[in-house]
Formats: sequence, structure tokens, C-alpha cells
Amino acid sequence: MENNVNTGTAKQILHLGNGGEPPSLDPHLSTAVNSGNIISALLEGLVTPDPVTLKPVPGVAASWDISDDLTTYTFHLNPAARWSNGDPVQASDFIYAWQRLLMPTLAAEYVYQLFVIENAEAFYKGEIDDFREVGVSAVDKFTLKVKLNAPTAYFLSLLSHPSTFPVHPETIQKHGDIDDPGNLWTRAGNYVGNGPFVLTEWALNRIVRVEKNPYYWDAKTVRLQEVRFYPIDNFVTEERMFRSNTLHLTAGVPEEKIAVYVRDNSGLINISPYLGTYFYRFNVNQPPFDDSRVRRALSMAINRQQIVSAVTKGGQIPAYNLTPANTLGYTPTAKIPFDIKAARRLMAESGYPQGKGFPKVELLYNTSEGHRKIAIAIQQMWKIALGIEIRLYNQDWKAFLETEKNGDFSIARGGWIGDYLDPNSFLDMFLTNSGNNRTGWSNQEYDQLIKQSGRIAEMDDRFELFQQAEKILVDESPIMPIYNYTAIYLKSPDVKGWYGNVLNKHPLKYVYLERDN
Amino acid sequence: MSSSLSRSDVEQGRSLWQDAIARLWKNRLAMIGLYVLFFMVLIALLTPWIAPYSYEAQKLDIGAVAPNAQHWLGTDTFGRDLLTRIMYGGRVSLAVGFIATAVALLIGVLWGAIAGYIGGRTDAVMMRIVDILYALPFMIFIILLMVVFGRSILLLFLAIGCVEWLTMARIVRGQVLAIRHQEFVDAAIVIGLSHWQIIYRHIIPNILGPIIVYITLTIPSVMLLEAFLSFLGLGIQPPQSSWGLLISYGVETMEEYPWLLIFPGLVLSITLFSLNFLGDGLRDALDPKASKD
Repeated sequence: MENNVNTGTAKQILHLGNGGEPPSLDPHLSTAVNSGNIISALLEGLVTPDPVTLKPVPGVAASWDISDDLTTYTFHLNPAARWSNGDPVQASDFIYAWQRLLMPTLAAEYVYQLFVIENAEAFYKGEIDDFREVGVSAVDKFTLKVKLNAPTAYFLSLLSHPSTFPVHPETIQKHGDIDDPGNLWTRAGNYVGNGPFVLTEWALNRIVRVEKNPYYWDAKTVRLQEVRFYPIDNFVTEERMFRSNTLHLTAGVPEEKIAVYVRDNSGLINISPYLGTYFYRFNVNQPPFDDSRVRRALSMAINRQQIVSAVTKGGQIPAYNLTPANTLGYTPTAKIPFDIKAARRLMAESGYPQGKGFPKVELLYNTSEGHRKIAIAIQQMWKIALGIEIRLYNQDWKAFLETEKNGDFSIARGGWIGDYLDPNSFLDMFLTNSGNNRTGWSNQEYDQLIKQSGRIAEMDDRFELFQQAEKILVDESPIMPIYNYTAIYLKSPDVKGWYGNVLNKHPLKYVYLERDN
Repeated sequence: MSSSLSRSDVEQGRSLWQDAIARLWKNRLAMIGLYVLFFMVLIALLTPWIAPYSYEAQKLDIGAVAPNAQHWLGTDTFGRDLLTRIMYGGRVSLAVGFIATAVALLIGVLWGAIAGYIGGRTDAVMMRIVDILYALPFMIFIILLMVVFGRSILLLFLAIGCVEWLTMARIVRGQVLAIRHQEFVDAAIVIGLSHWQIIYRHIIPNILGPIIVYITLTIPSVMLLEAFLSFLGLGIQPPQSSWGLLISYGVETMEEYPWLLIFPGLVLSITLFSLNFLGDGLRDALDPKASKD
């Protein structure tokens, strides 16, 4: 029969549900998971994650040396690495890209990740003007030397994250200024990448289409000819498309369908641990959430167990703190209790006994059936436990991110997926200067602990600092953790080379399509 | 001297309205429609006192259960009683239907009648304004209104009404133009009635037919528009609901929990049918050209 899955499998065209419309395809400006999926197909960093173990394996860098004090990395670039227009990928391209990320005028949310590099933070803050003073230099055309402030255990893993990917300098210059967030280089036709695929079409709210990049250094590994990303933010629609053989893979599964698939078609559904936390952000700059007691009270009053068993229904784990358990062996010990009586006392202390006088606040979420259901359940839990009325309000993904960035909310839905396998990927999000903080919360002691942990090589010592930081986060509660994700999606048996891992990262260069007989 | 003529021997003159009511009374479908609508409105008004459950109280542990003795129409995925939710949803949907349509009716009829009656340059200017408003994408218009004035249910009603009056104005103007120069209007002018009286006493009653038909079409369309806007986050928000929203969520789970779609759908369909029957009946009854029987 003629359908996407059949013809796609025959022609190596992967049809992929990708959640909502990707907000951006600029590696330095993107913060959304669905954008990251596409960017990782279009660009490649110094290292790439192994599809099974997630350990860094050679990407643009064929090999690297690490100095004895663990602070200097020398990357030997693969001379065969090419941009999609045929230019070689050079050490200077990385320097250009990192300079771009660090420019305060670009205002990239992920900029804080590069502060591990010597003088990077000083450059961002304008304390030094000359980028040559920053600890990254080209020894020759294909050798890149990076000097870090301190041993940074997760540095190599960080290099597989899109924010550290190189960009093609001439392309950026051609379509606008280096620090212009509205630079049009990310449009189809303009995009020059160095990844396994090239961008051939980006039709808003319809499709993002990428084709195999003939210039890619490892093109012989890449078997897919084409990947089509469909921006569908409705899991119900996605599931119907999957059933009609229009998609090989979905981004999610409607809650009601999970049990049905597990029972009738367990070979098609994937449910696996996913290193991520679903939470709500409080805007701590506005009353009533400028009072940490109110934030704690709200966080203490919800029954997380009930949310995962009756609302999300996908094997999620209730979360009482930010970092998921057993992240690289680290399990946070500080927990926000589920204690309605104590929550009521806190509300009374902060001047809202039985919720009296509590201002009208809104809970903002991005339009999605799943988020709506969780919001409805929590709205009612708060009403019963604390006597407060919260109004719900939804916006589409792009508008939502914008509203959240501008701090134009009281409570906003949030979710964080680990960018690399280290607790730091979660905890550095709430540093004062982190663009992904978005709560307005700032705590000197917390900042100190996280920064200090970056300078230590010994894992147990780092974890001790993380534990202290996590305790501050729970006490202050700028966020209300709800559950730890599970990766739930539908996958056609034709899809091969797609491995389950806790970051739910599936480098498309290894994926191929083949039908079992 | 006693008169041999008793009052009952004289045939009474009957007004247009009495005729209309008599004709409507005889139209069985229209009367059924009227009764059903009356029933729906009554239920909607009494809901806070007669609803069997709270519309927002959740029983997450039981989740969605099929219709049974406790929950006659079953419960939704949050364990909320569906009958109660339909009753409360009816309050929103009927209110939106009637208020938004009333707003559209008021503005549209006045605007169209004045434009058509006065004619000439006034007509041209007024109808160009309608054209310009027509050209504005109505979604953007409603979104703008909601963004500028904040999200409230009443404003939503008004915003929808403000969009829906345009078609009404055009229809009315066309009808007015058609009868503007008929003899009875000239006669009314000759006997010295004011313009306002002519519009109000002679023109509007003569174009009631098309207006009523259009009303019966507008009410369902604004109910669906409300569901659409609410779904986008611009209309009413959970835990409140409306028929349109109940249906759109019912569609998503129709394979697992069909009752969540069937019952709200049934109620909405019955209401819309009733409206249409009543509208048809009213149109026939109010047609001044219909023969007296």
C-alpha cells in the first residue's frame, strides 16, 4: 500500500513527529528539545554522543589530548570534515561560534555553559574586549586548544550540546550581523551546516525537511536519504498519523492510549527512563511568589503520586527535587515533603489563611493536552488543600517561550531534559546569570556551590556540593518539581539503529530503515 | 333600547402578532423546538441548585467511568460527573449563543436598516466600514480585543458579537433596499410618520423573516467559535467548560471513552435542531405576506 511508512522505508526517508513547531534552528539560540533534534542533524560538534552509551565519540575532532592538570584540551580536527558547501571545518570556525555565543548582544540563554572556559565570563560581562584573551585558540588550521578555569568533569559531554556547535562564519556574515538573533541564516537555502544532513525545506507549522549531506566526513555511515520532521503539538493527531502509517515515530503518546498500546501492541510503544524533570516555575519577582513560604506551601500541597498514576499514566516518577535520581550515580537527598497541614500553616504565616486574600494568579502552560490535564489536576489540588483559586492560561510553544523569557507570568510550566549526563546540566540552570533560570531567583550561596563543584575533579566531592545546592533549591523553592519524565513514543518496527538511552538522544547518522520479513 | 348586535358578532381585527402567534402555535415542530429550548434554558438557570455533583471536584482515582447508577452519563478522565459538566457547560454555551447573537442583532439590524433606509452617501460610507471590518481577519480582531482588554467571559461574548454583526448588517441592508420604495413605505411617509417610526414600525417587521433565519444560523456558529477560541486559550479556561469544549476534548478520547463525546454532542445537536425548527416556524409565522386563514 502507498503510504509514508512503506515508501519511506523503501527509500530511506524517515517520517518523524517532532512535537511543536521548532522555535529556532540556530544552535546558539535554541533551548527547545524539538529544535535540538533538528540542529543535531544539521550540525556536528567536536564530539558526538555514542547512541548507546552516550559517551563522547569523535565528531569534528578526530582525537584529543587532555593535559595532566585536566584544564587544557587540545582537539585535533578531522581534515575531512566539511561544511555542506564544501569548505573545510576549521579550528577558527569554533572560535567564531563560541565568540558568537559569548556576545552579550546575542543574549543566548545557554551562554553560561561556556563560562567554564578561561575568561569566557569576563568577556561576556564586558570586562575584557579582546576575544583572544579568552582561553580558546587555534594552534593551526586543524588544531583547537581550549583552556578551562578548572578541571571540568563534564566538559567533553558538553561539547555534544548544540550550544557548542560550530557555525559557518561566511554564511552568518552574509545574512546579517554576528550578534543579531534575527539573522536569517537559519532559513532553508541559507543554512550551511557540517552535520550528516542539510536543511532543504522549512515550512512553518508544516514540515522541516533535511537531506543527506554528501560532504559529511562520515557520509558512508549515514544511510537515511532524507528525514522529515513534522511539527505536531497534539499527541492525539500524532497517534492517528502513526496508525495510518504516516509517521515512523511520534514525539509522544496520548495518556489514554498508553495502556491500550502496552496491552495490545507493546512492540510499538517505547516507555523508558528519561533524564528530565517536569516542574512549574514561580516568578519570584512578583507577589505572592516573592515569599518563599508561599512557594514552598504550593509545592508541598500537591499529590505527585496521584498525578503520575491518574493523570500522566506513563510510568513517570514523582519528583520532590530537581535532579533525577541516579544521574551519573548522584541522587539528591533534599526533598520537598507532601504535607498539606504544614502547607496550610505556611500559607497562614504568609498572610493567606485558608487562601483568604490570595491574589488572582495565572498558571501559564504551552498548548498541549497533557500539560492541560496536569494543570487542571494541580489547580484543583491547590483549591482543596489551600483554598486558592488559580486561573489557567495557555499559549503556543513559541509565544510561551517568549512570555516566559520576559518574566510575564506568575506560574509557568517548565521541563528540563539533561543536555549531558551530569547533575550539573540540571543544577547550573538556576545560577543567577543562567538564561534558563527564568524565575528571577538568585542565591549567592547556591551560585558559589555550583561554581565550586565545577572546579573539582573528584566525583564524590562534587556530589557533596550538589547536595548542598539542591537543599537550598528545595528550601527556597523557586520551582515546584512534579515528576521525572519517561520517554514515551511510538516507533515503527522498520526503524533500526535507534537505541534507548536516558537522554532520549538518537543521532540520526546511525538510524536506518529496514523491514523485517 | 336593547341592541341586537352583541360584540361577539363582529369579527375582531387581529394584529400581525396575534396572527403570527396563532400560526406558530399550529406548527408542531416549531413548538417542540420552543419547548426543548425552554427546557434547556430552565436547566441552565437552575443548574447551581439542581446539579448532582460539583463541576470541578475531581476523583482522580476512579478516572473515566462509563454511565452507571451514580453517574448517569459517566465521568471524565478526572472523575468529574459528566452530567454536571454538561449542565454547567450549557450555561456558558447558551449564554454565549444568546448574548453574542443579541449583540450582533442589535448592531447589525440598526446599522443595516439605517444604511439601507437613508441610502446615498451615508449608505456608501456605512457599508464601506463594514467592508473594511470584513477584510480584517476576524481571529486577529478577537485576539487583539482579548489582549487589549484582558480575558473575561463577558468580553468574549461581546467580541464574538462584534464580529458576527457584519453579515447581519449586509443582509438587513439588502432587505431594506428591496422594500424601501414599496407603496406602504411611501404611504407611511405621506401620513407623516418620522423616519424612526417608519424603520421601527414598518420596515423591520417586514424583514423579520430573513433576520430570524440568520439568527438561528448565528447561534450555533458562535457556540462553535467559542469552543475554538477556548481551545486556543482565549476563551473560557478550565475547570469551566462549555459544550463545544466538552466535544472537542471528547473527540480526543472517543475511542477509549465514547460517552465523553456522545452525550455533549447529543445535547448540542438537540439544541441546534430545536433552534432550527423554531427558526423555520418563526419565519413562516412572521411572514406578513402569508395568507390569513
